Amino acid sequence: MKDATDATLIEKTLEGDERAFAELVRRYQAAVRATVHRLLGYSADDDDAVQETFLRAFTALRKFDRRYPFGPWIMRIATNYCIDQLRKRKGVRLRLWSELSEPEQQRLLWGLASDDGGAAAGVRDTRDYAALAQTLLNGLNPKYKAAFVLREVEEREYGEVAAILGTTEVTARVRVSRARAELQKKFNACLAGAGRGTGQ
Amino acid sequence: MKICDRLDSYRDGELSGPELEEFRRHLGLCAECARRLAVLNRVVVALRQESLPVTDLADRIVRRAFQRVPAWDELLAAWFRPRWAFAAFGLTMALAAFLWFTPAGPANVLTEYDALLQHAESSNPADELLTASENDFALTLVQGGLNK
Repeated sequence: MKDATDATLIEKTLEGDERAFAELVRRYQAAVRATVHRLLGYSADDDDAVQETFLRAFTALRKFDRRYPFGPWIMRIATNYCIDQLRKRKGVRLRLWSELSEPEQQRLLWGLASDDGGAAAGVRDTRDYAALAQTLLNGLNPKYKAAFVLREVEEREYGEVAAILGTTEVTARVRVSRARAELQKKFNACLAGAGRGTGQ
Repeated sequence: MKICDRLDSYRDGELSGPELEEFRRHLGLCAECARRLAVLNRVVVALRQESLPVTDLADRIVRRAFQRVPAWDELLAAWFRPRWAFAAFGLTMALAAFLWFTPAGPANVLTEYDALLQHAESSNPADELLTASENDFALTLVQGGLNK
């Protein structure tokens, strides 16, 4: 089963072979989990999102065109699910960033923009920026966020980003560009807020 | 195009030769562009380095997939697919309702016509005046006058 191609596994799944579908899940669950985690930005939702992605894929498997690779298709299902969830949760703020103290928030904000990677601000590990990064991402339009994560974080080519998002390469480029600009605006707003002592 | 606008192309590795050199020089002079790139770099690195739990959900997913009971909305959608079958069913029901509630078929229409004709030939116009509504009363009077 481990050596079978995706197309073979799909065919066996449609015939009712549970092991074939389990193998398909194992091949792609790590990639799906990484993407949904970065898009949803809150670990508690990850398991649900991964399960729902594969269940939706299972339901639609009969309609999947096996001439095309399975990877971008399952990623598209995952991305669309996350975009829907983000739209429903619009306005719900993550607690991670707001759980930090204001001096901690200021330190990370200044560290993020500094030339020395935050060393002068006392940031020892770039993983300290994870909560800040998620906060900045969570302010983005869901479609721009999806494009940004796929291109910048997962380093996919624009062609693949377009295939996953179900759009053209030009649109994918525009979304990434807008995401970058929005990220910067949100960062500036956080910085201004931290400077006033309000934090965010 | 302002040189700052080339930041996306630079970020995507699409600049080369003199354009690339020019933008690198620009980064040394433009604090805003330098900051934008620094923020982007660190956000991306932070997200990539975030460690994610390794959880194997395959067995749970497979169990749910193969035991899945369709949701009510899926059953409803399946019932009305394909649309042409639903349309044919609706048309059949409409025709049945029409035949049920309208007067009986052509054969009986003729029988009813004969009965009306017979009644008209045998009835006394004067009797009609005693039972008709006001409108019918006026009509009968006019018809009675024409017949004379």
